[in-house]
Amino acid sequence: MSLTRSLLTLCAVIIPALEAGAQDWHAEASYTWAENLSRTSYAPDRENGAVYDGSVTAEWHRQLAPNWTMLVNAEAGLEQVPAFPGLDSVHLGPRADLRWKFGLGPFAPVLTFSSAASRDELHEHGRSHWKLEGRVGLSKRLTETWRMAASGEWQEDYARDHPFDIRNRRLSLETNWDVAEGWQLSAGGSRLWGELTANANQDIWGQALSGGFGRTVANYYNTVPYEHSTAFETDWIAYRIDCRADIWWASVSFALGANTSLPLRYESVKVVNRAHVSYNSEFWSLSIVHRF
Amino acid sequence: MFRAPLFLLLGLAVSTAGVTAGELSLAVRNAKGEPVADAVVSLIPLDAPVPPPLPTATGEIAQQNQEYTTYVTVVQAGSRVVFPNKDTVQHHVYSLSKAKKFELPLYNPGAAESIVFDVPGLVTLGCNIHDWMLAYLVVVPTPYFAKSDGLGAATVRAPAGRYRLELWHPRLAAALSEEITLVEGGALRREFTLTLKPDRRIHRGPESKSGGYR
Repeated sequence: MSLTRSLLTLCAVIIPALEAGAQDWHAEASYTWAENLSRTSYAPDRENGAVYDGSVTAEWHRQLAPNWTMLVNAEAGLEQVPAFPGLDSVHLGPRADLRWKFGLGPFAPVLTFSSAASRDELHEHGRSHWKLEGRVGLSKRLTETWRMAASGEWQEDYARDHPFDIRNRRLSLETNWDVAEGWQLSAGGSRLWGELTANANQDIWGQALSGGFGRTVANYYNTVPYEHSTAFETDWIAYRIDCRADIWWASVSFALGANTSLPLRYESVKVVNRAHVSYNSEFWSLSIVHRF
Repeated sequence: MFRAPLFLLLGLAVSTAGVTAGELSLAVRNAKGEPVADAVVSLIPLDAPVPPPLPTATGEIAQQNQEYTTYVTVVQAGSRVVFPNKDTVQHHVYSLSKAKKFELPLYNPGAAESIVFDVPGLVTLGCNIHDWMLAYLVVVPTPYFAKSDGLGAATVRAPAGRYRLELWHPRLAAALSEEITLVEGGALRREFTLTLKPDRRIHRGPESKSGGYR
């Protein structure tokens, strides 16, 4: 992704937001080490790599009524994957949250309705897409230091090429615990249903289609949309799967003052497609988040 | 910030002209011997009537940078406290405390409402939009009070006589109380070592959106 394009994307949020008098600004930079970034089922072919990303978010909020608060933001971000430049991307889009708080005080439950739309432009153009997201979340602080949250999410990606056109939905449960001054532990789990994109070496893909991995796999793989991709290797295939994914994560975050956090996060993603083929990925990320 | 005691002490100097005052100096430390700020000491007369607050007695607790500008404020019962929103965002100031239940919703930047606190007690202030915002307003039934500074020091002047000394801090399990006597022109010095609870406030640090599932 060219530097010019990345800078233009950031300016597309920063300049209008400055003009519109954004009330809050957030900036985030992170480094992620991804095991099986390629979401490949055949273990020897799995591609690992580092992902660097940065984003800027401008935020406006307004209390509409004593219990209703609306939050609107615009985010621009860029992602660099040095080992696989085809995955380099920029994204840009708005989000709106409507929050209902059931009463006064930090222990009152909060119901949040969110919707977002964004454009993700990837270096491998076929992967570029428009993303629509919807989310309903309920959170409740049980003590000053312990909070629980549950959410249901829905996501649709409208890509230029079919293997990257995906729809899925997800239920999540998360807890945050402020263990000591400045230190927060978080953990959560999700179940995802729907479609994801996976990748395979062309030789493996050929064997799958021809029945080398059994009739069930061949029958299923002959029905899924796929195309050649150079994002990982020159002779690879990207294909769309119907799947179920179990995702769980844990993070420890250190607050460097009131406006800066340094979270370290681990996430495990176990995906099983309709033909019972599994794809396991793991992510370690270290971020710095600052609110201006 | 903390204008009320200055006004009150100034007013007291006028209203008690002719009465020789005694002075109480406090040194407040924690169990490790470190100075404790924001400890509130008040002297409640045991033998004399409590002077009423001056009509000009006011306090101010502003909202700025999504925090309250003062963590602990002390006023005499009957005083007016102003809550100016000096921030760029709205706030929803509220209290659920027995001493004063109130809320200021839809509270826009530039607005400044005021409330009279006429019942002694502790008023815990929050913001219903920003859960981490926390401040304490200590409403005391006497004009003789002070708050410890960063060195853990506080000084109260009051007419000679017997008093009930009350000492409060946000991290103290229960207020301390004892009887003292101030003598004319005398200076009484007391040291308090407090066993404080851990400082458990709601985490404010921003949350990450990066990493993981893609």
